[in-house]
Amino acid sequence: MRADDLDLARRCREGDTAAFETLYRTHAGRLFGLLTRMTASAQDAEDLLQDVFVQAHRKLAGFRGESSLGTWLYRLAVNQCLDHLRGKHTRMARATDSLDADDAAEPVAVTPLVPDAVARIDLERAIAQLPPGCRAAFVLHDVEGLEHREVAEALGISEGTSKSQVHKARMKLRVLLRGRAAPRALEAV
Amino acid sequence: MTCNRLPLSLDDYLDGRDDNAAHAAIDAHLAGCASCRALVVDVGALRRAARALGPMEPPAHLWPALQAQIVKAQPLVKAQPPKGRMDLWAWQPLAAAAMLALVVSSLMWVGAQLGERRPALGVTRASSAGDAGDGFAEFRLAEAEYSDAIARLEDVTGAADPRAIDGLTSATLQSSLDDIDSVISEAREALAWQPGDELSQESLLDALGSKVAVLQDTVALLGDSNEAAAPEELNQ
Repeated sequence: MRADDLDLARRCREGDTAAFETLYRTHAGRLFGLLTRMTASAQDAEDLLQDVFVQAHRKLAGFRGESSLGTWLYRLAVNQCLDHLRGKHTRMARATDSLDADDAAEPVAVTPLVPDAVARIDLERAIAQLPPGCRAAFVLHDVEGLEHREVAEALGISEGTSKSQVHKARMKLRVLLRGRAAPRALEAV
Repeated sequence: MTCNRLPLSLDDYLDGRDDNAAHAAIDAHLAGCASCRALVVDVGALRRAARALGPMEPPAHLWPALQAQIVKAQPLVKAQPPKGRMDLWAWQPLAAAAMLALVVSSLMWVGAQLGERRPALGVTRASSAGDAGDGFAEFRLAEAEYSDAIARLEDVTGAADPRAIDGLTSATLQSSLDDIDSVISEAREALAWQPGDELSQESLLDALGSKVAVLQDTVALLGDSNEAAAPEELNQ
């Protein structure tokens, strides 16, 4: 598998457009999903996806096969996306502070609120309504499957904060998916 | 275990990664807390739904736009090639197609003949100062014949309609020729210092032979394309 990645990278570097299209077709779906959910904007996700692959094309000379091509691209995409979000003046720390202030607004439910089978479209819409800080943590952890340690490293926060962010995202989604939005909890959206 | 601490331990609990003591503590808490039991059910449903979301298909227009950016950043076929390089973009009217077919067949024969006449470089070892021994003379003769064949093939391809070969194939051929030209250039530089160096001589003749082969392939593709196009165009 790694030898295939190195060969594909070499062919891309040598100007083989068909090889680059293979790279794109193989990985674009996963990256586009990540970018769309992280930014909650289809247009931003499209622009970022192009930026990621253009950057990948430039940086392929540096790919040494220490990770798979997919992982290498994924890291590029995460970094590009976070730079974009920071560039829009959405600070993770600021988002954390505002979420901390919302703690008291979370409803306490004694029966499950989330349907056993959550419709994909409902969840996608609900994720898009999350504040950027906890949305990023939730997407990376619950959707993409990264460990809290990896989420923390990517977002520049502590592992404890990552767990806290993911928990807050889940609490908000819990309410959104039942259609009973608590007004104070949604002010930060 | 308390209601406030449970959320931070929930993932390990649901994945079964916590130790027995921690797991038991959460079980004991859940037995007496309806709110946390509801939370555990909801978080389980959310995690399952989130993991199932999967990739998203990007809009179809993104690839062509990206491809255009990449090709722009890395030109594969030069509109104005440097001196001495084959120009795939020069073209002549279709009337040259018949002449092309004739030249193709004769040059294919030339290429085959050259393959059989490579000098046996191991027979006479030339000195590092370069000498006019039999082996060296044969090397020079083979080099001259390859170069002549290449020049004729380049004339043929240079005169052809560039539309006869699709862009990707054309780019691939050009890329191959660029690589071969690099090897030819390096071998000639080495031979300028040590004309009798057999490895450099072998390398040069190999590269010249490869260039003849690529040019022959190009000429054959042009010939195939003209044969396919001819009936339609003759009827116009």
